[in-house]
Amino acid sequence: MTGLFFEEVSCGDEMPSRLEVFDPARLFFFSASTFNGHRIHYDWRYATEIEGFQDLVVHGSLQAALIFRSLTAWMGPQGRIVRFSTKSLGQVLMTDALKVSGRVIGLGEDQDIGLVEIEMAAERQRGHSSIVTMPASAGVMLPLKSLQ
Amino acid sequence: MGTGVSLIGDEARALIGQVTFRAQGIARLSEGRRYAAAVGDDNPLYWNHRYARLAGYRAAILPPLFTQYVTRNSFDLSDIRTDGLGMASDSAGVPLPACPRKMAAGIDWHFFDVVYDQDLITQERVLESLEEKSGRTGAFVLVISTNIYTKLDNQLVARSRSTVIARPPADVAVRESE
Repeated sequence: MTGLFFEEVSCGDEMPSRLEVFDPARLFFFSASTFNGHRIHYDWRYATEIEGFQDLVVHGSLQAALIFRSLTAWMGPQGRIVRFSTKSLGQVLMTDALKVSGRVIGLGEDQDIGLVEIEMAAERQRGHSSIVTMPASAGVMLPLKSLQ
Repeated sequence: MGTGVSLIGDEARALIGQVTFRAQGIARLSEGRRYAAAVGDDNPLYWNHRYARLAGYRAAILPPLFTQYVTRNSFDLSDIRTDGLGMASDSAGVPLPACPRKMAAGIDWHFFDVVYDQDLITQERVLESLEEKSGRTGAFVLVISTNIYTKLDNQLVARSRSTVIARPPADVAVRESE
């Protein structure tokens, strides 16, 4: 079992970034797993003709889940997320790509645990333009190697 | 506002500080795994009991963000609106008939405990505030609520503070921005 220890993390460390792409099946399965019937995520005609979007809309909660997944994959099984905040700033359409990234912005210790502050973002890639659609931040507890 | 009429009625204002939604649900690992699969999350803590035990848990855990869906109620098909949402999911439990279009604007989570298969989760939502705003696309209402998720014996699992933007129907918004 591998995972990060607090002593292995430094301020400014970058998490591996990931590029996410979407298709109707992916959006449908997320809607189904969260019992979300909103047609803008799976009914192309409704999304475009009634709501006026250019394509199916990627759930904000899916963007948040993808950011969360990047965080847990980075820290490993012994880390714990104690705080996680997201803010929706823009729509992501099914044809957009989404780049998820993050970096360490603060470190602290409290008795026998290491505390790490992380700044993250989901960035919409559309053609040659990119824009942050969901900034996020997290507080993570990591084990101290010195106590193992 | 363009029309001079508030988007927030007295019934909604009276709910500020009150519990607007309360629900219980039994956490099921299979449902949490479906969520993880839909996200593309292969975190072994959700999929492998032995791995989870080695990491200090008593069994595989549910994805923490899935907590909010454990208590999601089913609804009668006849109650589904034209946008596909059920009436029960409308307005975060706050009656805002002038603003049927909802969009999640942000959420802050604090996690205190993990959720295991068969945990009984209770969710209680309190309406913190309603704020009427006017933006580029017209008037809207910010609905800010706090959700508390607990297990049996009131053991705190998570707390979230969510902001939802509630907007009038599209044609009304256009009229107000003119």
